[in-house]
Amino acid sequence: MDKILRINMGAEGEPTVSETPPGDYAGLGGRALTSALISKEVPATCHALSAHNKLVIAPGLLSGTIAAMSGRLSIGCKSPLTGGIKESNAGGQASQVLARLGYAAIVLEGKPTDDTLYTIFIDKDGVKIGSDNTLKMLGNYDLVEKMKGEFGAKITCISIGPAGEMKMSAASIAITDMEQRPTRHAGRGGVGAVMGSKGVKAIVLDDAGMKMRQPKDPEKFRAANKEWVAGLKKHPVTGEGLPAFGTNVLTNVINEAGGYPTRNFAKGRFEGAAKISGETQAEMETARGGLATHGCHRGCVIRCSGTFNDKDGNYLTKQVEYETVWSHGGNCEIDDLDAIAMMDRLDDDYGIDTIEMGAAIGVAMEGGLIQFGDAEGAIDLVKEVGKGTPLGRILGNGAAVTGKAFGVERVPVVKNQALPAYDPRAVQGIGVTYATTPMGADHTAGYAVATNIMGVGGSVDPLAPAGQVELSRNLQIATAAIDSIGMCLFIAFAILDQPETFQAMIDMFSAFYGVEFTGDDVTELGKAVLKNERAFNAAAGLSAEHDRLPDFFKNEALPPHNVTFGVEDKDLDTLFNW
Amino acid sequence: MKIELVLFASFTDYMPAHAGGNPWLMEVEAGKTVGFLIEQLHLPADRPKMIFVNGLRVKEDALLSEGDRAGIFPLVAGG
Repeated sequence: MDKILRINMGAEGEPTVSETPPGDYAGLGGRALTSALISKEVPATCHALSAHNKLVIAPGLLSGTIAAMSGRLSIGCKSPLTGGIKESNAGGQASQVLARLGYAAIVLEGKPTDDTLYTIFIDKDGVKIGSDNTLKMLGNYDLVEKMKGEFGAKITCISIGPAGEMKMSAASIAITDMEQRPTRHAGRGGVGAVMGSKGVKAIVLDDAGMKMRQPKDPEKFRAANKEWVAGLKKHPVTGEGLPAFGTNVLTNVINEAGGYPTRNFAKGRFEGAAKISGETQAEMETARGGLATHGCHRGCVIRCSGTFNDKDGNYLTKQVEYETVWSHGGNCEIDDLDAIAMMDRLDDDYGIDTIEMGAAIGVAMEGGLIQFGDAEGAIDLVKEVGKGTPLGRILGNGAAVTGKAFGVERVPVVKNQALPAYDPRAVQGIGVTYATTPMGADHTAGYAVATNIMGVGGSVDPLAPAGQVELSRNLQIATAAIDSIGMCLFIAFAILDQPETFQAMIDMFSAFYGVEFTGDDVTELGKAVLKNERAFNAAAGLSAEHDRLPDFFKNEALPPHNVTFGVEDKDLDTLFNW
Repeated sequence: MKIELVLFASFTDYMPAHAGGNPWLMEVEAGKTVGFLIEQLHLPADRPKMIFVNGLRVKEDALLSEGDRAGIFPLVAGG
């Protein structure tokens, strides 16, 4: 990872390629690198779809090594959805492969002057850029098959579907998994639209002939990785719950806690929750010959994913994640897992963020476009997005645009980005994260649910404002560091509870780079990332007034606990005072 | 007094057959705690648990009242 690949898509004649040493970005990876580069090189006030924006794709600092769980990829740009900085994070194979190919980052710059659609192929021999307009409006699944035919069976793809080509603000970037299915997505913030604006349909990677990245101190590194894996295996969340039931194990938990956003955030419990729960889903998957346990990349030991087959036993999609089951399910009062899985498949194929899509449908239901609970109607709305009809373009630009189009007051967004699957009135710590993270409403930016609901990393009352700002602050700092190292965020459950597992991660990092990294260094890394992101957002015109939840969370009490969001604005404004 | 009870995730194996995987009513003497339910159901004592009574997270020493709904999970998370 000693070079940065820059491709100028707007160069006269054809795109030009240059490889440079990391320079100012030496020692950075993942989110630390994407956010440093965007904040330094992209004018904050530029249009997100203009030639001035850049798309940065960076593996984490430990990606491409044997370190377990190190396969997370960061994709950064100015977000067309939020107007602020964006780091969207994904699993799949690409981070490991890109790191082994030696790249600290790929940067797409400029903008083509015509509508030519490009592919970028990278292997041990270098970079080849091709153009192929027959790929236009192809879904991610068909696209990957075509790329396999052209570049070989062992490739990894980073690609966009029709939503990205149409530059929708909810467009995602798909990453293939171990079976080369485009199931892992950098979903949030419209990163797919920025890739579409650069005219790039797919980046195809092949690391044949490349080796694992080698640590400075191999013996210490191996020992730390062993301790690391043992720590992940012994924690009940990472060793048992996630492998057995996947992320959707949370449907029953959050519903039982009264914080499951139902009917576009009108209620905290969904009567149909048991029908779409992780327990039901795992049973269904196994009965249909799918898998209830599956890793999204090589080197994953948690293996929270799975495969979801249709009623005839044919592959439909990956194990649908909790957030997706919620956004298309309880949020829309839909209790049919097959319908939800179909929408997940369509979202992945069109290349669209499942959270934003489900939230937009919920808002459209509130606006009377279709009825809550109408599963077939909801599937049809997703298809409108794939077709790019005027209605589809409204929905595909997210919940905020949809709310305006249909005159809806209850629009659950912060900085125009839809809230995920925890109501901030019943889980107030995550409400603080939604309001203040530079990313727009994002549960992964500081997962206070762990401490509010599960009692992991301490215990803070979810229904009261006390202690939530401090909790969210500490988690946001730690998360920014984890996103930079390239670790899957689910390791947080183990490192919050087990000091020896946290130490093992630090030891691995130290042994790999031949440095003496400490817990304090982790904190400083996280703070530096957030500082860059906040500075970019301030320059882009996002102020304290944007660090707020929509008013209805303060004014409407959420049943069953009948509680409103109680953290005061002045306290939210202290989050980044450290 | 009657308590509505439901178990989740791997604890569903400890639900009585008559419950059919659904919440069921259990007759409990007044003054009993959640810990008593855990013993009665033979839930593994050494497994960390998340216990909700009427949607509020409680510890095993929480006292039960007529009509309470108790939901018990092993420690699980996701997101």
